[in-house]
Amino acid sequence: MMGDILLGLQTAMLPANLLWCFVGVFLGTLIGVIPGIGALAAISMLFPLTFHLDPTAALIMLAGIWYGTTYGGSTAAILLNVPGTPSSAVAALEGYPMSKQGRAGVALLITAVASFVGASVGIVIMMLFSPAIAEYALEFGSAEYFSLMLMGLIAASTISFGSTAKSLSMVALGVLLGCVGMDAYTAAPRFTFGILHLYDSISLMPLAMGLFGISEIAANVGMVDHKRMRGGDFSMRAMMPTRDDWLRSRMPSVRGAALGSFLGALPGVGPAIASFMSYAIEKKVARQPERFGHGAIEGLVAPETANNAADQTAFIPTMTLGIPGSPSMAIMLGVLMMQGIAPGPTLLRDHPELFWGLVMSFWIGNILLLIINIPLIGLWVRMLSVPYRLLYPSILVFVCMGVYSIGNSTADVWLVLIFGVSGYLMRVLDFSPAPLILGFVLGPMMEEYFRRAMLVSRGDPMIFVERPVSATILACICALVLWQVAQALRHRNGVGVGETP
Amino acid sequence: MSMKRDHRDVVGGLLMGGIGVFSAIYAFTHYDLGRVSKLGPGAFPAAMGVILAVLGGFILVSGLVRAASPPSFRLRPILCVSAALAAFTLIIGRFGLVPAVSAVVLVAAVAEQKPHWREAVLLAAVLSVAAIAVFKFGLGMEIPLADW
Repeated sequence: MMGDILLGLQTAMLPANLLWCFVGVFLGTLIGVIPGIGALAAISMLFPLTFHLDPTAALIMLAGIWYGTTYGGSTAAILLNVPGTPSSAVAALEGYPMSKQGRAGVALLITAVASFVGASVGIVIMMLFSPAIAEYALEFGSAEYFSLMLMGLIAASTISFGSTAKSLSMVALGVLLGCVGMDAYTAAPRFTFGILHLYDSISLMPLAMGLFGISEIAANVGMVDHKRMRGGDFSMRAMMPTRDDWLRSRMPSVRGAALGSFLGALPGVGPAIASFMSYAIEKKVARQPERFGHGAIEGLVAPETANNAADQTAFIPTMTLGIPGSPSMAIMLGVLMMQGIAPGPTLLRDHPELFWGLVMSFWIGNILLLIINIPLIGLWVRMLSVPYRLLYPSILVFVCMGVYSIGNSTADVWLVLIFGVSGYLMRVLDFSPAPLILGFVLGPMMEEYFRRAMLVSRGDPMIFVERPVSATILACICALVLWQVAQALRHRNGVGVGETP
Repeated sequence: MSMKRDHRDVVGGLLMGGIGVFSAIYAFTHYDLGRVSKLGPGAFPAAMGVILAVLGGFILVSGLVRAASPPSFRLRPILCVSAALAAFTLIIGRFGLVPAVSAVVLVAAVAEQKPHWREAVLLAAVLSVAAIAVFKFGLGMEIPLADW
């Protein structure tokens, strides 16, 4: 372990990686602060730029954006009652009343500290458990991988993204889109309809950028409200929390960190759900629940700890098993695959410097964020007043140039357009595009594992049930599906918690 | 417009179901399904198509029996954003970076109810410079700045 940590520090401290880490967390905070752009859109937008970087630096930067947005999102929530990210919606419940009481500075500081604590716990857990999980997973065969990926997809559809049937259909559609191109085993072209560009299969980049970036812009133009900060609304000098504040925050942060770390590692559950559940739990165990909604610091600290912990543990299944729990993770996997690195248990073995460098960069990134977020509050506040009509054309330009820069081809820009329109259509029809990305990334791999498992078993589908690990996973899937059906019958309305990045 | 159906789900279900049916039939007729012990390229897509068709049907049926408010959407932003992207693809190859970037900004500006033209022109200039800095110098892209 010590050797790995040293290797990681060595890698993370390389000047190039330090630079990209800073760029990532800075951009992440900025994007988190501004409502109307999410982490996923930002990661999609920067995806083509990572093509020109080395894989470690690329991941460090994208990861910085991912957990950086969680730090920034609470700023807008506390100051303006407008969440910058879905996971900070809860921060507004207690943070905004606090700022109305003149305690905005306290709220912001304690949020930054809570976020750091949560992230630290998440990172430690990742450091402790990842090697063991990866080692265990090396024993996995095709059947196990197939079942695991299937569970990831179904869990993501049932737990978070709204109507289960719609999410599952998005997954299926994503898998179908993943089939476009040449078949891995026989090189037969599939669904290419004679279009040459499609022989190479659809690239994740234009799909993600169109589906998320473009459709988000189309939905937000003219709608994003910019409440302006009145000068002197809060005093930065009053930033130090009282002793009472610190004492009250101890147990909530412990509970938040534990809950967030656990939930973050599950596919389909992310920082937003972690923060909502954490708030609900705090309210339940509080000795004076009537204080909630009026600036109870426990209700601010716990969710902020939870969502940052979840941010970090989300990397565990992605890096150790190659199974992304959310679209952002899927894109980071896509980055690895594009650079020719196979994600999964072999990653820790074959590219330890990438994994440990990434983990150590989490420490560096979170420390940077703690430093950035406290003195630069004034800067973020000013950013909140940039009008969206200046932002979205900039985003469009960078999307176009970014996609075009890979191979100087306009074909991918056309794909962005097509997926942008499709993505908007999906939003209008209330289909969440997120499961589609998961299906798209996992589909081809699942197919390969399925076919290989069937080859090994000589056509016997029982192999999935005969191997114990695979059977256990399939049993969990059945349990999940039955639970969902039971819920649907009880409520007659399959509405879950919305979760985008 | 009858309020007795969830129109979003009806349309959505039809769409998904349609894609599913089409994919299944296409895979079935065009690609080799193989045997169970040696699945061909058509097997997985055909199965996915069937699953999608079933799910689509389920969504369609649930949309027919459930009442919900009709969907709201605005055509202008998505049309303008799409037009901006199309403009980029048509202009960049023929006329170079600066015209393409400017076209994106100006066409996208139309998406606003009341376009701020002077701002847009300024923004186009700023973004052109930024794009040149990031892509031409930063990443070393080979691309003419303006070429007619």
